[in-house]
Amino acid sequence: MNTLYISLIAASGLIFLWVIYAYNLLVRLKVRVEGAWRQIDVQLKRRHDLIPNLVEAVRGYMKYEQETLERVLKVRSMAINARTKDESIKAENELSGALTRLFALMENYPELKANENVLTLQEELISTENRIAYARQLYNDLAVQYNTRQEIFPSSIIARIFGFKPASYFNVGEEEREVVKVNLT
Amino acid sequence: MDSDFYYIIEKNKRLSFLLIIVFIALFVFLGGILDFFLAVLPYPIFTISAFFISAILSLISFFWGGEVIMNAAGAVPLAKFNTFEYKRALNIVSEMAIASGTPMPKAYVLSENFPNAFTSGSSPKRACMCLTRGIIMLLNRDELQGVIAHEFAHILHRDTLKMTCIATLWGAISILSEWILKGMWAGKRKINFKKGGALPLVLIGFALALISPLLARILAMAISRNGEYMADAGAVKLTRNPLGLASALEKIMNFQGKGETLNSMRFLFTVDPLRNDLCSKKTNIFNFFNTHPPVEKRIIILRKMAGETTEPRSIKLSVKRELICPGCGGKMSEKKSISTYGKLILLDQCESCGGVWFDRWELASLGPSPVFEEDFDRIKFLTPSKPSSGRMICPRCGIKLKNVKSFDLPEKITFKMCELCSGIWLNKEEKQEFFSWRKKKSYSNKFNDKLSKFSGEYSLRKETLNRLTIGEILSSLLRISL
Repeated sequence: MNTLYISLIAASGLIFLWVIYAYNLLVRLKVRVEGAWRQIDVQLKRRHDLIPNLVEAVRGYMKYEQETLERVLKVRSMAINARTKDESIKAENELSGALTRLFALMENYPELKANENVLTLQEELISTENRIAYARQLYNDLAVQYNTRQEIFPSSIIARIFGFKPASYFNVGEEEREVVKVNLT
Repeated sequence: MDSDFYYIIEKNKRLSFLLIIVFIALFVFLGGILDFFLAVLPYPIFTISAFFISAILSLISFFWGGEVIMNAAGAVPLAKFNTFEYKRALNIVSEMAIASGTPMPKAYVLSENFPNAFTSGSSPKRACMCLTRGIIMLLNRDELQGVIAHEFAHILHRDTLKMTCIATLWGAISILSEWILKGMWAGKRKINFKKGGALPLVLIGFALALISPLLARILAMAISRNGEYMADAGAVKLTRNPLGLASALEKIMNFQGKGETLNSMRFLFTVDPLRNDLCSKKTNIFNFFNTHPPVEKRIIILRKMAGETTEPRSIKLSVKRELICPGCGGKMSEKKSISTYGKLILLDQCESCGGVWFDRWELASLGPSPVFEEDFDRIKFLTPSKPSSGRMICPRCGIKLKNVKSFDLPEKITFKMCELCSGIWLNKEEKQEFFSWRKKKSYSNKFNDKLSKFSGEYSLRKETLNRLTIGEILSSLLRISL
């Protein structure tokens, strides 16, 4: 009888410890997912700050590309003023597309490559573009981990009880998938 | 699909795990044999002591190694430079920190032409990453991204820690095997052959003791190579661009010349503290003695991940970059000169303005009355030497030169020095001024010391020197004890 009690207590103790472990793991993942999401915001802000400088620096050289430059600025202000999350994601994706187009056009101006200021600004923006992409990649990777943890048995029970919700994935926008057309004539 | 990076990481992880188990089994078996036959105490005293001796030595290189070598070799924080290539490198490091979700590691540059990169540090929080000047200048953005991602993969996989454990076991196995062999030769007094009456077991133990150091080495190297494949796949997981790293490896494979600064200091540590570097130039005929897998094979695997099947090419890489005069932007050519010890020194002189670039050590080793090639002073210069003002760029590293003055020097002379490679630039007037003044000044040790310091002799901190000494003593002790 005594041994039965002891083994029951030990078993429930072990289960309790496992519950704590599983719960903490979920919380830790949740915090990392949220952190990765904030990182994306930080990098988007950095991009918004850099764009006007680059546009001003290249405006003098790229006289025939005013339309592209205006579009970059317009989409930027759209992205800053976006109210809802969906609007913001859409505007940011459009901004990525507009910037890719601008970089491709800049290749046509050899004199831009000699300008150290422009080169540095371009490098900063390319780096920021990469950071945004990598931050999204990290977010998606973590979201996969977090969601898998919530789906698989037995930690799915813990997720159900404590009401963890699956994180949404980041999709690549249509704008970014579009092939950039460069006019070489 | 066998070219998926997740698959490669998983496969190599399993293999590493298996190899480590074999390693531990070998160690326990050897220790068991020794303790069984000697049986001095009821505890496995030999096994434990061999393990601890080895662990202490490994821990020293684990906690000090990378830092000491970086200090001794004169690595400079990457964030200090604001030239394009260096800024870009720093940007890439922070991009990869975001991609891998680790804190930003301390990034350093080393003044060495050989393209290489390595990491050290016990955990992702304390990680250091070092890039050579060669790799920063040689590679383009995508390639450098691949290389830095490879190093981040080493950090994420905690390869420094893993290899320290392996080295500990390896060292312990060598110690045990030595003890067994010595015990055998020392005579029948020491080892009780009759105990248990198991002669076959004794013979097996003896044979194993003979070959185990070799076996341990082969195992350790296999684990190390596995780690490299895993880091390559990990880099692709971070960048999703296998071709960048592949083309970087191809460039490094074709680079002629070798790294000098680092290799000269590595011997100080029993565990190579910088073994997390990119690829090794040293290749033995037998693959199982190499820390790194053959570069060609790595390139093929990486290309396969991108669905390409092109073989690694051998491109001709210009080893020597043409130097550009920091003063006037002209072409520089080599001029012969003789050092105080009669050794030939090749100085670089600008063909148009006559200014001279002295690499680290060169100015100090020229001595008070140097002998120059004939046209060194007589050369007709098309453009007059500009006054040394404005932005001057180091012809080797591509970073801004710093004005350095010393109260020992005459008023008119200002050294333009590179912080990274400690090279010195003197324009035509300064050069003439310097040498005529140097001739007048009688030979004095004190002055020579100062000059050596200027041209980049040890600028080591005392602490670093102490650690170097301790490391040296300990590793020589180990060699004696073995």
